[in-house]
Amino acid sequence: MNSFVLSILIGSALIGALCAFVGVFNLLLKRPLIADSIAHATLPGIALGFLLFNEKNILFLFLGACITSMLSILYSDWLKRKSKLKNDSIMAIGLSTFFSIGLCLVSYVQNQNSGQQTGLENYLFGNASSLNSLEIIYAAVILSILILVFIVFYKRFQLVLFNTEYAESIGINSRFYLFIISLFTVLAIALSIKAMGIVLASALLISPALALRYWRTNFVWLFILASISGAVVASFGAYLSYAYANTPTGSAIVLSLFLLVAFSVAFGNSGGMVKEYYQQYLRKRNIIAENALKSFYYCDEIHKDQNIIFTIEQLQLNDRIANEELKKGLAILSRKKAIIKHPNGFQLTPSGWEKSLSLVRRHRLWELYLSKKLNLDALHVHQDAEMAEHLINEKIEAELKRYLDNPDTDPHNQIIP
Amino acid sequence: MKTAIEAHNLTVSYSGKPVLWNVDFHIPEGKLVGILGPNGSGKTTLLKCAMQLLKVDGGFVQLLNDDLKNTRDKIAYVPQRQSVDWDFPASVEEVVEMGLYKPKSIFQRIGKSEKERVENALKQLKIEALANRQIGELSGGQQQRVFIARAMVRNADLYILDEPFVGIDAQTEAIILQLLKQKVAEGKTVICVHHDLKTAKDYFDWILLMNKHVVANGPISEVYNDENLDATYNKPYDILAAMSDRVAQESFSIKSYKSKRNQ
Repeated sequence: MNSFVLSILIGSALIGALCAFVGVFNLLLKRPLIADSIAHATLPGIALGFLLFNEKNILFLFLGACITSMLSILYSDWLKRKSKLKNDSIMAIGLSTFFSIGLCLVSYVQNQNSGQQTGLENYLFGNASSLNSLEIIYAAVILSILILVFIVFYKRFQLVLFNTEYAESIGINSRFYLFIISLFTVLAIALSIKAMGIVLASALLISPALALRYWRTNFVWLFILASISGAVVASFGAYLSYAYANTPTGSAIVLSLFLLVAFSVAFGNSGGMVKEYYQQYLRKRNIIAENALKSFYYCDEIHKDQNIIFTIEQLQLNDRIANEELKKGLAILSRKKAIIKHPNGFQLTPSGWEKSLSLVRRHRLWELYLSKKLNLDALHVHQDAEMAEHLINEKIEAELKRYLDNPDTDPHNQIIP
Repeated sequence: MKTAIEAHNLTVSYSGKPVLWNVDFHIPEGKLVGILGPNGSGKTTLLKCAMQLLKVDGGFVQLLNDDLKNTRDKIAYVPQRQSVDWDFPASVEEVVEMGLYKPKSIFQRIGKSEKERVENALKQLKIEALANRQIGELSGGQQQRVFIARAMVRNADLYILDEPFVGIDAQTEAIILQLLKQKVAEGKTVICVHHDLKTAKDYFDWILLMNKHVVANGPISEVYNDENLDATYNKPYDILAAMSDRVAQESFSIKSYKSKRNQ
């Protein structure tokens, strides 16, 4: 790998970290769309910077981008205060207006410099290899300042982001902290658009923060981990676009970011889908097992002898449970050591006996509660109790008993064990 | 006796529509005060104006006989629990520590005595076992206790709570009520926005009944009667509501009208 590629990768990583960092702020402020709005508002500034100084001086283009995007924020804040427009309508209007002004200016610039390459199209679609060393230094400096500011103020930021009203009530000037966030958001986006492209820049801010919300972290680690993943993904995407020439850098980064988000949504330990599905699967299995366990009690309502060995046919006898489910349930129960498998059938263990008693008890307590206290007809209570028996825990059971005055029988005059 | 909160001819609008009309009252220190009124009667707005979170159209509301900038350290404000996102990444301890922040001292270190105050507040509200939990994992009652604990670390003279008894379990209610009564016994003042008429009688010793204007204000024994409650909650024709609608329809600016007249 030559030094040119290395500098591109480092530049992308710095910009990725910077964007992801400010992205966490904006996600916690519940305004992820502002990134898109700011990115589009950079275009008139870039074109003006080029027009006024008639050269591609990086500093002027960067400053121009910062100024018009800051203007767009001030404008939308002002509009929010003065009109009854909602936040997203304001952003939609601002975004397209600023972008249109930018497009007009760019086409004017390109007519003026006919035949000459202005390089302005890099800003529209993004190209990491057009990053030069000056921009990489800007990124490093801005990221360092941001980290310093965060180290000093992170408690303040946490307070203002969590509960702005309370911060104001104890005399903290929340507008100052919100301004700092806006300022760094503008700086980060103005730096990123050359690599990412105006249209795609917002993804680099929001995706890492969004992905990290699916993992259990605290406030500080959320920023650290989002920045690290932003850096890794951005340089990975930049490398892809280098290795497979003609792939726009912005697209390569956005697609890598999508993988990061998809992975987190699927496997994250805080609300990730796989974990949720697994827990649902466990719940379902548990219900099948508990239903099978109840069959033992129902077969033996009269004898109350936990040592009887029942065959599958006997357990099936009262038809409360489908054959398939019963077999599945029995398999789970013997693995859980709630029953013992004999050559001629199944027998409850002491713990299995206790559990089957408690299930039937909870079922009948709930039936009684529904019919006595919620005035439901005794005919309709069984279905609900079939569900409730799996949900009632010890505390609720104790409360039910107390509330119903330690009852002996359910609405169908069956004994509550 | 010193005044805990007073308002003089206070008029306030919320997005162009008046919610408080010529509110005028004063409440002495050392009381457990309930501010009662139906939905939309301006209770929360009154508290927000007192904390200078909203701008007024005319008149003023003042706490502890002084400008807020001199009294902030003596005041603890508890916003409505539903006003924040509880999925926010913060632990119980971190939120309670927020009560200690001082606007001026940026490099403020949390020392030993502050740590103790936080621990005490956590204990008073029986959430010390949850100190390192993320707030998203708490029940509604526990969330409310975190908010109250954040107010308790301030060692304030005046506690201002917005609907502290909404959506919480019986145990939390008992803990909070007992704590508030203890504060009043120590000579502090507690002001709660509250909407449940039935419990109000057991909770408070002073009541402000309002519905966009003050209906009655005074010790509960004098004020809590059918006539006043009726005037607060059942209005055959709500003149002030109709006036508020007119102000909104005409895009009338009470603020600029009042300030012009004063010049």
